[in-house]
Amino acid sequence: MKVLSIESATNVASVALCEEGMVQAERFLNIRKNHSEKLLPLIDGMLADADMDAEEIGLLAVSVGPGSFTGLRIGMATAKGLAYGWDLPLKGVNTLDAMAYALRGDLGTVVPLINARRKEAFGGFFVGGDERVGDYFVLNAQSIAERLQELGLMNPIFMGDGVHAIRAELAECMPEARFASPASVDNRAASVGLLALERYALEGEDDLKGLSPTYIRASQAEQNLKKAGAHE
Amino acid sequence: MTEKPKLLLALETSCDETSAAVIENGRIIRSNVISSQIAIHQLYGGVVPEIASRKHLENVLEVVEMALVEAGVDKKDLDCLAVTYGPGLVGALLVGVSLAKSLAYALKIPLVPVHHLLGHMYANLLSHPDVEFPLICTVVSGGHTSIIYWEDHGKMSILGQTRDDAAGEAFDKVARVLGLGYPGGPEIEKAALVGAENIKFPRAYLEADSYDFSFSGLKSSVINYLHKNKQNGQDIVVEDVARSFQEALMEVLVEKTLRAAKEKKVRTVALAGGVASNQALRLRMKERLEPEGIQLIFPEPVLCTDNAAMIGAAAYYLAGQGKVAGLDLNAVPSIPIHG
Ligand SMILES: [Zn+2]
Repeated sequence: MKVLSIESATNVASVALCEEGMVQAERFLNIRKNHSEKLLPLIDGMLADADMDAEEIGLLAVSVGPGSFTGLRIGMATAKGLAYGWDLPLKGVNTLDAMAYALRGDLGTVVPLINARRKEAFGGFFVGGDERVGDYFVLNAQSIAERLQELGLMNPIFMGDGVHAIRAELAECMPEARFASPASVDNRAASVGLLALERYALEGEDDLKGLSPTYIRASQAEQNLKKAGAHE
Repeated sequence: MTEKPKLLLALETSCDETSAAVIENGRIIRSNVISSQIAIHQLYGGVVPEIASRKHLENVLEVVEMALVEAGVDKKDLDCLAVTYGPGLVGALLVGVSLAKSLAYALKIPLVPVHHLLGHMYANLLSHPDVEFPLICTVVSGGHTSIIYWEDHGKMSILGQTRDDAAGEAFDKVARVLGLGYPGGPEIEKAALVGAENIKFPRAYLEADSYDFSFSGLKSSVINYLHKNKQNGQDIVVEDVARSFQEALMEVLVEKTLRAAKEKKVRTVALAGGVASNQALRLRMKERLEPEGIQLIFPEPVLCTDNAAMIGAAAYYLAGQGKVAGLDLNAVPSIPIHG
């Protein structure tokens, strides 16, 4: 079965066509340009290049975050419109899971990071690139190092755009830290598509209408409201 | 595409209402589903853009499907899609624009981008299909206050607009300082019903020949009035303040609209936007316009608030003019109105 996947959780806008175990086509932009202007032309161009008809696609996949709130919503609204229009199932995949999947087989602890600003990163710990240990988090470098130690996780390899934001701090806390090459580890739609195929086979589709991004952080207004409530 | 679409699905997500509508031949509302977020935003005392965007994404497809089911239309039978692309909250607009683009692409039908204000104006044509151009259209809402000379489909010019707060914004802010809650328009209107106009608030007419508005001075003088009376330990009658404020704001709206109608020699004035459902405004307008032989029209209440039917009505004519979006259509948070 062919899957069309969308990744727009960060500055990256990427779309891919995959089949079990194979990336057939992929388009990738990391130029901080507006995802809303780029995403659908990327899909249209890729389908044209691949000489592919929509009828050949069996699954839509989308990266659900964490990441940029706006980027995630553009990607998910686009995926919902396509899935609804084409009558296809939709599968959402956690962005961090998809990133770690790209390093499946690594012998250490794979730590995908997404820039969360304020010197923090969204992230997760994966053993062998597959099995997540502990919860997803949004933490600074020091706390990430402490968390790794608490969980007894060794030999971390960091990847993703969160590395750009806190690389110096990570290297300082963890002299043993490894950093994956950006050539292989930016978040890509191909990882989202391949992982979605695996999960769709196991779990089936997601609720097309109800699916919404994994924000991890509450919005500023919700945080303020909570604070105000706590003071009363 | 320069043919007018028979069956059109429209989407509106520019602020705090998620709405989808099916419009037949530009005039018949087959469905107009509106999912309001007001209850959520009331917790915060106003619209929170980030929360609005999240809710739109959670609701939009459900609302689209309800609109299709209610209209008894299969999505494969649609000829055209329409969406509000601005002005509005950019994150909220992006949900509608992204979904409309990909749905139109998947269904292989054209997408018409619609200016939100134009939608409000066209709401009048849904409620009054036989109205004749030219018109003066006064748009009064949370985001806009404009007097527009509307000559025909695709032909209009802005005579004047607000230089600071929109009228609806002034309503919301004054309602907040009066402790009347959100949204402010209906709350002020309710309070004003039992209040007396016994406080003289300023009327900002600006330059003698100007059709522009300024409501920030009025808002400030309400705040000053409350402040001064509180300091002097004097009682404040909320209803009187609401009434006096509302009268001051409306007088300028009504007088400028009347002057525009006379200058352009139109026989009809149309009210549009959320504040157009204010009964007092309609009454004041009628009182001034009818003796001059000018007819006042306004949309039915459900078409005054943000809704997708009005977007679909506007899109019907835009489609006829070939105004179709490309795959790179983006949301535009602020953009002047055009034909
Ligand atoms: Zn509006």
